[in-house]
Amino acid sequence: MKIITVCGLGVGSSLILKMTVEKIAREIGLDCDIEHWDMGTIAGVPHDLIMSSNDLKGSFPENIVNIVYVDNIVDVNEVKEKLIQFLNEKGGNY
Amino acid sequence: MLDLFINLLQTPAIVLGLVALVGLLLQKKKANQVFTGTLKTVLGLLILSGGSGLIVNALAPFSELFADVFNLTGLVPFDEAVVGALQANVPIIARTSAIILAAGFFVNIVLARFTPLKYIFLTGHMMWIMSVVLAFVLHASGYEETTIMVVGSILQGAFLTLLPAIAQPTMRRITGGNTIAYGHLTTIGVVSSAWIGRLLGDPKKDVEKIKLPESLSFFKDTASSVAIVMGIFYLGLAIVAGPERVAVYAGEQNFLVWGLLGALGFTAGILVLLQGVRMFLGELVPSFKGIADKLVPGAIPALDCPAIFGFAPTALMIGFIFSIFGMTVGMIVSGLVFGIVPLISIIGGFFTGGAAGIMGNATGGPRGAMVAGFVYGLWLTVPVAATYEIFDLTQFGVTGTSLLVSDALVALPLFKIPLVGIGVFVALYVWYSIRELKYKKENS
Repeated sequence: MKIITVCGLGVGSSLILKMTVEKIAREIGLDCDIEHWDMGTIAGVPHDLIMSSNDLKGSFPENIVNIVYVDNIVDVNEVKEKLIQFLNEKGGNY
Repeated sequence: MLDLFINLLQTPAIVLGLVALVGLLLQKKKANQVFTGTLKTVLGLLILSGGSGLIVNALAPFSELFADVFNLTGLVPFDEAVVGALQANVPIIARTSAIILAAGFFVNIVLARFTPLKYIFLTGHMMWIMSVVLAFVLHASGYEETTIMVVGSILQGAFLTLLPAIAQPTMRRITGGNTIAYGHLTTIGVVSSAWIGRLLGDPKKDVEKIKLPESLSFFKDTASSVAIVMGIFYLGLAIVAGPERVAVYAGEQNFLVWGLLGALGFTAGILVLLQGVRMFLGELVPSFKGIADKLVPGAIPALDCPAIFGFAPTALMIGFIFSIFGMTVGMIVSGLVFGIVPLISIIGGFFTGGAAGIMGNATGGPRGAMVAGFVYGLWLTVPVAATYEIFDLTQFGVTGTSLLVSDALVALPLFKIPLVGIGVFVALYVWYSIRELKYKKENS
C-alpha cells in the first residue's frame, strides 16, 4: 500500500512522521511504500492512506477520505495504534 | 584520473550524495535502496539550486523596480533561496558547507553523547541553512578552506546541540514532558519573544477558549498563501510604478500581467525548491537518525516547528496574525532607520510566528501569545535590515532576498570575529548544561 505523510511545507515534520511510520511498518510486517509531501500539492498524489498531524485537521480537500491524524509524530505507540485501527477498519485489504 | 575524482569531490551534490551513501550503507539497506537513495540526494540538490535560481530571477526585476520607485532596498527574505544561490554561485562555500553539514552532525552526536545536552537536531533544511551560513561567514572573514571546514563543523554541531536546550524549558510547558525538543533556527527569536510575552501576559488564562474564524486555516496551504501575498506586493508595486516604468522590465507585456506572472513565478520557484529539499533530505535525515539512535542513548529529537502546532492550534493562529502586525511595523521602522524594507514573509509568519504564539501562550497565556507574535514579527524584519549591509550578499550574486531566521542572523555578526563568537558560545553552552543537570536532579 502507498502511505503519504503530510505537513505544511512537506520537508520537516512529514519526514519525521515518515520515519516513525517506517519503523512501525517494519515491526508489524506491513508491506508499504511511504513518501512525504506538502499539503498544498497533495491533491494530485495517488495514495491509499494519508497520515498527518492534528493541526492540519480540516485543511485537506474533501475528496480525500483516508486520513489518519496523530497528536505526536514521534510517538510510536500512538501512531501504531491509529495505523492498526485504520487497517482493521479497511478489513485487511492491504 | 585523479583529476576526475577531485573534480567530483568538489561538487556539493556529489559530496552530499556520498554522505547519504555512507548513511544508507551503515543502516544496512538493500543495494537498490542504497542506489536510489544516493541518486535522489544528488538530484534533490540539483533541483533545489534550480528552484533558488527561479526565485532569484523572479525577484531581481522586482527589487530593482522597488528601489527605483521608493528609493529603498526592498527584500523578500527567504533563507533557502539565499543558501541555494550561495551554493550555486560560490564553489568554495558549496564544497565546505557540504562537509560542515555532514561532519557537524557527528559533532552533534559526540556532544549529545558526552555532555548534558542530549539533543539531536533533525530538521534537515535548517541544518543545511546553518551549514551554508557558517561556510559563508568564515569565507567572508577570509579563512582558507581547511579552516572553514574544521571550525565550521565544530560550530555547526555545537550550535545545533545548544539551540534546542535554549527552548527546552518552554517546550516542557507546551508538551508536558521532555520527549521532544524544538529544532529550528528561529529559537533565539521565538524564545526571546515568549519571554517578553511572559512579562506582559497571564499564563492562567486559556487561549483555546478563544474562537477564530475557520477561513484562517486557508493559510496552511503554503502555495496559495505565498502566491496571494506576493501577488499583492507585485501588483501593488506595478500599480504604484505605473505602466511606463514597468515597461523597462516587462517590454510588450501589460504591466499588471507582468506583476501577476512575477508573483506566480516566485511561488513556482519556492515549490520547485521545496521539492528539491524534500528529495535531498528524504534520505539524509533518516540516515542521520539511524546513526543517532544507535550511538546516543536517551537522545531527545529536536524537530521542525510544526511538531508543536497540535498542542495549541488557537495560539498558533494568534501568533501568526500578530506576527503579521509586528512585521508591518518592522517594515516601516526598517525603512525609516536603515533604508531597507524586508517585506512580510508569509511562510515565516505562519510557521515560526505561529511557534512564537504557542511559546508565548505557554509562558503568558493569550496576551503572552499576542505579545510574543508581535515581537517575533519585529525579529522577522528589523535584524534582517540591520545585518543586510554588513554582509553584502549581492557581491555573491544574491539580490532581492536575504536570510530570515533569527539564529542565522545572530550567528553572522557573532562569528564575524570567530574568537568572540566562540567565547560567548562556550559560556552559553556551560550555562545551559548546568540548567539541564538541575532539571534532571529535580525530576529524578
